[in-house]
Amino acid sequence: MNEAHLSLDELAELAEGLLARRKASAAQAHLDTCDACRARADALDHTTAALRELGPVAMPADVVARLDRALAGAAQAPPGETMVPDLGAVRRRRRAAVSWPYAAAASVVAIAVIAVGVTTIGRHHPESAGSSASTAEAPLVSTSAPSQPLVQQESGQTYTPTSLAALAPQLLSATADSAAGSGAGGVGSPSVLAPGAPAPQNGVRLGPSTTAQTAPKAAGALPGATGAQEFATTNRVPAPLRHYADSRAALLACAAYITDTPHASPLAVDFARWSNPSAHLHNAPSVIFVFADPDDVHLLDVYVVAPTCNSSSLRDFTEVRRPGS
Amino acid sequence: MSAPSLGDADLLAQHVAGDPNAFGELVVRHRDRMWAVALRTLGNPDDAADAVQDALLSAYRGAAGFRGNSAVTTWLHRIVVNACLDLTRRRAVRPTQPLLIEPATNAPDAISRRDTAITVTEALRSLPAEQAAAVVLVDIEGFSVDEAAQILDVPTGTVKSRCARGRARLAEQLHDLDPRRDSGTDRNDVPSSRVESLEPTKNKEKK
Repeated sequence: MNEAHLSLDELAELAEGLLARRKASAAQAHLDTCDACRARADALDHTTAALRELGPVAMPADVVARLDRALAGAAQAPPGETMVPDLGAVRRRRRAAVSWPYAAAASVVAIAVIAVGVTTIGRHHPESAGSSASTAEAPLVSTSAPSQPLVQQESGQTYTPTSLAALAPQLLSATADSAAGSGAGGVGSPSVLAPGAPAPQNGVRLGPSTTAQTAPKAAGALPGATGAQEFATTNRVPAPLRHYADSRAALLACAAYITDTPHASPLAVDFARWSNPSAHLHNAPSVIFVFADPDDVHLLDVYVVAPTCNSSSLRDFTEVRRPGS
Repeated sequence: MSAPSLGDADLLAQHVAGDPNAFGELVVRHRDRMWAVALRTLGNPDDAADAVQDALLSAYRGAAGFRGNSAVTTWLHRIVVNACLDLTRRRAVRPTQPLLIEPATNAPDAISRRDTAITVTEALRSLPAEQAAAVVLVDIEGFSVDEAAQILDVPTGTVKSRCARGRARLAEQLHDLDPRRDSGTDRNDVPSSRVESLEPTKNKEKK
């Protein structure tokens, strides 16, 4: 007979039928002859019985009231937004180093830049003004994964809840293609931005002039590829998204807002359109954001965001497997 | 209350179709059970309230995604349990604070048993959330292992294993037992609250 006593885990697994047949019969044989183990098995049974005897619990009145308020608030959301994920819930899923809304931080930074500029220029130290300004602005352009460039596409194509999980990861392969200089150019013309690349001037597209070392061949095919304006000839960016296509700071501020992560660094974005019949949306201009999942290196977090980029702008959210993992 | 004869699925369909009262009726029907699951899985009323609110809001907004191939109760439990587990993962980086849970009102056996140093509800708080959720669903709420597997989105074997390990850990605490030996009386370091036992307990789960 097996003289070793059975652990509580083993006894519980035996009771649940989880032990392999040979092990189970040995355990049962031991149990039949060992009072100590039988007492422990009884204690397990008592525990399960005590669990079954736990009665119902009523939700406290204050929680009921709180729920009613929350649901009343949800009922006031416009009907087109009721069938979409809750940005608050998605945001809370992400680890946030700081919880204040990023938009507020961005304006504080902007004010700081102006203030520094004024005071230092007054003291005739323009260089120090410049360096202070770039320090102050660092949160806008720094990324949490400095080696990871941002691929920016302007496919203008229409994503749907069905195609999103398949198409979004392809934005990343465009990154790889571009970095390798093969310029395979999947959907649209990707422009790969080195981390820390300066935000472009107003009205100028992000283009080869800011990304010379990683510019895709597709861009190089344009005559005189140094001209950002020529690269900007694509007009597939839906007009409401032009603001984000033109300003990397605006894009990153939106990324930070939707993820509730001040230094959010998307792996890829696409200026595109979104159709979701159940939400009554058809070719609605939308930014597709692809992030590394903060909890699982094998996952990508994909956000579909309306141009307004506010608390009701999340049109869809999905986690997809990172290609090749 | 207006339509007691309607099934849960009908109410959900009416909500999706725009009936402003249908979801409220569903909530009235199920909120106590949602609350019990969240409270016993998380062991903390504040967290439970957060989780239930998150869950019901996302159920409200995601009702159109209900496929109808499971019971509405299963679907609702799935959303609540996910909200609880999400919340636990977010809390994992923070120190846990001591919080009291009101003892179950209806557990005469557990309370009256002389050798029970702590109540079942208290002991539940020492379990890793995944184990607690499995035990709560199967042993307390009475879901079948198959239903619990649907709710937790794991294989049935995983549900059984989490239940078994959870029960073993509960028995260890409730009956002051050593997990491996039968020397139940000479142990004096049995964790008496989640505060002491939470972190080591969670780490042990990976073995």
